[in-house]
Parts: sequence; structure tokens; C-alpha cells
Amino acid sequence: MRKVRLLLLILLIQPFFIMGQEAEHKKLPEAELRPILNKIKPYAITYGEGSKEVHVFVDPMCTLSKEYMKWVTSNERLKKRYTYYIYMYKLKKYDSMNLMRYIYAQEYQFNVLKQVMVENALPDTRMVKPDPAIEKEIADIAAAAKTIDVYKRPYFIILRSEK
Amino acid sequence: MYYDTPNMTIYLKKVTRRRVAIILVTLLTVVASLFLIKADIVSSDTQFWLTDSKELERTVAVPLEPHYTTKVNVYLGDTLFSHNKLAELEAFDAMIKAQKGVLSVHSLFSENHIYTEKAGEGSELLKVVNLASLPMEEQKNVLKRFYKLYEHFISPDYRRVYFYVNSETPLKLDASSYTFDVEVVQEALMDYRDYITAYTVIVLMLMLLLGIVFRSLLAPLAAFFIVGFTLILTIAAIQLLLPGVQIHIAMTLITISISLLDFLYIYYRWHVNKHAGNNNLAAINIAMSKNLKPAMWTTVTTMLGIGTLIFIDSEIIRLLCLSAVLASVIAYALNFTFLPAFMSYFRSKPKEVVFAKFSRFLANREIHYKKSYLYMFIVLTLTVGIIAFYEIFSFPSKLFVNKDLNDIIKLEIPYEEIGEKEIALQKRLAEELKSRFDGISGIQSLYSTILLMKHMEGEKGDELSLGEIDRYLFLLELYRTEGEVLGENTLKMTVTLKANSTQKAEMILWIRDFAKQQGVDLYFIDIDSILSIAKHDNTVILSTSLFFALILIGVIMGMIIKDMFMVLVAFLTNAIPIVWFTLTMLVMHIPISLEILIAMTITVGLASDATIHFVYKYYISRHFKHTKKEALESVFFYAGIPVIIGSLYLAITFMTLTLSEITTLELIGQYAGILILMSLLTDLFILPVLLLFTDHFATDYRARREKRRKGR
Repeated sequence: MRKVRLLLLILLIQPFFIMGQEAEHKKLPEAELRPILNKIKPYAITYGEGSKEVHVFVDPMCTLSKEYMKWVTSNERLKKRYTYYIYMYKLKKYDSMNLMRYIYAQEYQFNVLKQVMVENALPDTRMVKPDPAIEKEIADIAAAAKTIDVYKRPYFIILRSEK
Repeated sequence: MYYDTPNMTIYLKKVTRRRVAIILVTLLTVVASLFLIKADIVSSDTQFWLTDSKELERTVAVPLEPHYTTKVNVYLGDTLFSHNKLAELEAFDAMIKAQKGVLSVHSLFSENHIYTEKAGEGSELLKVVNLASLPMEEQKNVLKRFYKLYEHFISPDYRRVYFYVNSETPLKLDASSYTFDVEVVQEALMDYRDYITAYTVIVLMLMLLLGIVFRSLLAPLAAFFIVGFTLILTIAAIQLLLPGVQIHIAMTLITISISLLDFLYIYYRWHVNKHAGNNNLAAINIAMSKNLKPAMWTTVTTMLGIGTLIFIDSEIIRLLCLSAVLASVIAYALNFTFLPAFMSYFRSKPKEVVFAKFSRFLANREIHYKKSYLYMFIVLTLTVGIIAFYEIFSFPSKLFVNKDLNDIIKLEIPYEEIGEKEIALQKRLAEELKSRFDGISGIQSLYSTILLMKHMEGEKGDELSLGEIDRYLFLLELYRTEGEVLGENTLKMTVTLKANSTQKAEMILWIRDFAKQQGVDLYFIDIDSILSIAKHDNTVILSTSLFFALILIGVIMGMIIKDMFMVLVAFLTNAIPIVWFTLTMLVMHIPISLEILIAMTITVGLASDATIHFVYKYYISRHFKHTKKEALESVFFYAGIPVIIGSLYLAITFMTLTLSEITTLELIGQYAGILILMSLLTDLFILPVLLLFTDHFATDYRARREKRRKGR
């Protein structure tokens, strides 16, 4: 009986130990990062004309991603120095898949993304139908994000132009 | 030869005959000079040092804009978070920023707060926000949690707040409309009221002291004319020779000191001769003829000894020396033209000078000096001199610790692209500075900011990869908060020192050497640091020049008297007060400043004059077969008393100036007062003994005659 109690106690307090330990995040070297990002680059929503690359993963419904995008779009100086490659990568807690599909389906993706994230103009996405090409894009981005260990949103990586 | 007294009877007859013309011409020249003088007297030495600063030239050539950094202490009386103090302080901050010439203000209101904001699982962002933009309660919490990061800007009890104001010109602030007390920590500058007060004190003291000593109105009146005229003519001559140059108040003090002593030797001689019963013209004749040669030699010595320093590539030194040389020449000319013409009007018999008995007392005591004591003193002085010289050449920074006006060193390092190399340099510099100097409170740089961002994001370690540098730099720029650590193509670094740290000058020098060793272009941006370097670069050359000036004075003395022992006597007499004072400076960490240079110039001027007059009197007495004791009495009576009167007047006046709230006047008063007293003590107690010691006259004529008579 004692052994059972002890086991129960261990089981009960175990989550606290796990919570207390911060998860170690992967940090890939630039040499490994670059090919992964180059692979998904064609799916990125681009903004800016600078020589340095900012690869940023956002969830369009995430409040902090939205705040980040507000800073990005309001800083003209950085727009000239950096090119932003924006990837939409869903956070578990948000039901943002249809919104992502909707944005990817637009011709002027950045403008719509800005409307959604900066101006808070949420479109009606109930009728959005999955498009295989877009689904592939989303899946590829998600796979790359997993490899890189994109554990939070917004998550960004800076890459200097290749010499 | 020194013992030939010139016959001035004919010259004086001519002067007396044309006295009206002489007085009128002098007055006209003085009035005309007054029109030449640009009333541009300054009390700060900053500009003088900066004119010579190679470091400033270097910084400006980059081009970078050096600026004044002024610390402003605000005493709230209450805590920052009570009774609208915060709002009032924000208004104060805005008021400073609106001041003309203010470039930026570094304070609690300019500081950033770095933190990670979380919005549920998986959603987080590192933020850099201006501390002042947070609600009051949050500011309170931030200060409480991260006080160490903001300790340069607020006291632990939140009752004192500090601002660092960067401005193009020295900060001028009127904070009378605020409910809290504001202290602008900067050199107090003199305004016209301060100048009037200072010169009024000098004149009143002159009137009072000379009036009491000579118990007549003539002495202060004649002194007023000679000193006043010399001052006006000297300033006019300097402005004529060096157009556009500013006159530092201290240069006027040098002129007053030198001209007063020159006057006193002559006036005193006239006074005692007139008191002895000579008629006015005979008294003037004796005073003039006995002083013509020694006074001429004092002028020559000043010209050649101090005058050689004019060729040093330093405007301050040039101006100080020029003041001394011109004052000496002009005072000499006035003493032998205007003074006899003026004195010839006064025929009443003057009263006895109270110090006369004192001179006999001194002679009686010093004739029996102990050689062993003299040897000990000389050996001790030479040892102190060698130590002081060694210290100056080995650690010149000890001598130019700045007045602790602000506790900040600001520097900038140009870059082409920010990368690991640039950040590593900042890291190395910060780490080495902290390990070498315990007086550092904090170092702000791009490295320290990025490292803080990394730690606030939960990352560990002090190393920064290129990816991390780029990431955090991007965030800083994204939030537009990079201004404190990043300039236009330069990395900024701010070293904040602990209160009352005396290591600033040493640190600045070390940083400069570090940059040289690392082959890095590093520039000091705050004027105070540039000033320290300028002072350092001049210290060694100044000390060497002063040393050679003292030797030169000794050599000239030797040539005048035609006795090589005199080289040593003159050198020691001039060097003793300076050597002991330098030791005091080193021991008490007194920084070298214009004020000390002035005090030293005055001392060398006065000591060399005193040496010549003392030696002249002694040698003439001895040449005419007086005993050593009689010669010593003559020295004290004819040269000692004017030196006592003049030195005491100058010391008392300079000490009175220490009551001034103006730093420059306070310091000149303090240093010159002490040095003049040291010089007086040397003149009265060391110089006569040295004269006795080196006395080469083969026989003490009368003493031997007396002895012979007794033997019979």
C-alpha cells in the first residue's frame, strides 16, 4: 500500500518538475538553416528591399505576431535595409488555418496580411476551401519550421546576403 | 660688476624736472591702452586646454561631434512616485531638451526596459520599451526589480534623480520654477559682478595692508598706480601681440603679483632712507640706484627663465609666460620713470616700518645655523624632487585627475559592418576595464545591451554568435531604441564611474593605450575626457620645461654674480617650494590645472626676484668687507622686509579669494596662497643659510680683525 502511495505521489509531482525545466531549443547553424529556408522562400510573403534577410514565422491570429508586424510595417528605415520573408505557421491555440489559406490565396498577399495583422480587418473565412497547392505550401512551411524548431510566434531569423 | 652702484643723480634730476610730462605721458598711454583692451576676461581654462588638444583635432577630423556632458542632480525632497513628482520631472526633462544647444539627455526617461512579453503558450516576443512610456506602477516595479540597471539615474531611496545632458556648449539651466532642488554639476563661471568683487578685494587689501605696514597713504596709492598701470599695459600688450586672445583672470593675478613685488623693493628703500633723515630726492636717488641693477637682472631673469617657455606649443603656457615677462618689463619701466616722478611730490617724513626689528632677529638666529640640518633638508628635498619627477614621468595621470564634475567617459568606435569582431572588441574593453579599475559603476555598449536582451529572453552565456548579434540588433532598430549605443557608423560606449572615483583620468589613458595596442580607432566624445588627455599630453613637457627654466634662472644668477655656487643657490631656492608642493599634490591627489600652473608661475617669478635681491644685497655687503652677520642683516632689512610685506599681502589676498564660490578663484587662491607662503619661508630660512654656506669670501674681515685685537 505504501509503495502505491509513493508511486502516486511521484506521479502527482512529476508534472511540476517537467514544467520547471525549460525545454532546450534547437539552434541550427547558418549553414544548415540557409538551405531549409531557401527551400520555403518561394512560399514566403515578401516585404522590403534590403540586402539582409529576415525570415519570420507568424500566426496571423497571434497578438504578439500582430504587434511585431505593426513595428515592421511602420519602420521605413528597416524596410530599406532588410527584406522580410514572412511565413505563416499556425499556433496550436488559434484556429487560424482558414485565415492562412485565405491570405495565401490572394494575389497581393502582403496587403491582405497587413490588413489582417496590422489593421485588424478580419475577413470572413468560413467559405474558404482547401487548395492542394496552398496546402502543400503550408505543409512545407510547417515541416521546415519543425526542423528549425520554431517554438514561438513570432519567430525570426536574420541571414546576411550570401557572399 | 654687481657691486658697482650706478650714479643716477643726473637722470633723476631730469625726471624731476619733467615729472609733469612723465606722469601725463604715462597716464595717456594707460588711457589709450584701456581703449585697446577688449574686456574679454574669462575664468574657465577649458578653452585654453582645448585649443592645444590633438585628441580634439583627431575626433573632429573623423568627423565626430564632441560635446559637453553635464551632470544635473535633482533633489526631489520626496520619492519619485509621490505627489506628481514624476510628472514634474518629465516636464523638467522636456525643458532641458528644449534648451538651446542641448543634443540629448541621458536619464531615467531615456532608458529602456527590456523584457519578454508572453501571450499564452507559444506566443512570446522580446520587447524593448522606453521606461517612461510604462504606467507609473509598472515603472515602480521595473525599478524595484532591476534597480542595478538604473542606479546611475536614481538613488536607492528614489529621492535623487540624475540627468546627463549632452550639449554643444556648456549647459545653462534655470530651474528656479520647479518644486525640487536642482544642482548643475559644472565649473562655476565668473560673471562681471564676480570680477568686480575679486578686483575690489585685491585693491582694498592692498590699501589696507600697505596702509597698516607703512602707516601712510602714499604706499598704497603708489602701489595702486604701479600695479594698476602695469596690469592695463600688460593686457593691452598681450592683446596687441596676440590679437583675439582671451585673457584669463589668472594672468591678471600674475601681473599684479610680479609688479607689486618689483614696486615694493624700490618703495621700501625710499621709505627707510626718507625715515633715516634723507631729503626726498636723495631718498629717491638711493632707492633707484640701489635697485636699478638687481631690478634689471630680475627682469632679465624672468625674460630668459620664464620667457623661454613661450616657445612651448601650448597657448596656456605661452600666455602665462607672456604675462610674467611683460609684467616684469613694464613694471621695471614704470618703477624707474613714473614712480620717481610721482614720489618727488611727497616730502613728509614717513614712519618706521614695524618689521625692521624682525630682520635683526632673523639675522641673529640664522648666523648660527647648523650645517647638518641644512644637509638633511637639501638631501630630503632632492629625494622628494626625484620621487616627484619619477612619479610625474611614470604616472603623469596622477597629476591631472580632473575635477570630479561628471562621472562619465563617452567614446565612439567607427565601424563598417557590425559583426562578431566589433562586439568582441567592446566585450574585451569592458572586461579589461572592469578588472583593472574598481571605480566603474557600469559600462553601456551595444555588447552590454545585446547581452542583456539575450539574458532577458532566457538564454544563458556571455558569448554572442553572429546570428544573435544580428537578431538583437534588428530588434533594437525595430523598436528604434538603438540611439544610446549606436551612432551614425559608430559604436557608442559610456563608462559610468562610481561617485567620488578618482580613476577617471587613469582610465582614459588606459583606454587610449588599449586602442593603440589593438590597432583600433577609438574616439573620446565628451569634452571632459578630451580635456584630461590635453592636460596629460602637456604635463610631462610642462614639468620638463619648468625644470629647465629653474636651471636657466640658476645659470643666469651664476653669470650675474660670477659665482657658479649661485647656480645651485638660485636653483634650490626656486625649486624648493615647487618640489614640496608637487609632493603635496601627489600625496593629496590634487589635479594639475591652470590654477596650479599660475600659482607655480607666480612663485617662480617671486622666488627668482627674491633670490636676486637677496644675493645682491649679501654680495655687496660682503664685497665691502662687512661681516657675515652684517651682510645678513642688510639682506633681511633691505630685501627681506619687502619680500615679507609683498608675500604676506599676496598670500592673504589669495587666501581671501578662496572664500569665493568660483572654483577658479578658489583654487588659485588656495594654491598660490600656499606656494607663496612656502616661497616666503624658503626666502627667509633657506636662502640666507645657503648664502652663508656658499660664502666664498676668504675672510670674515671684521670678525678676524676683532679676533686679532683680542689676541693682542
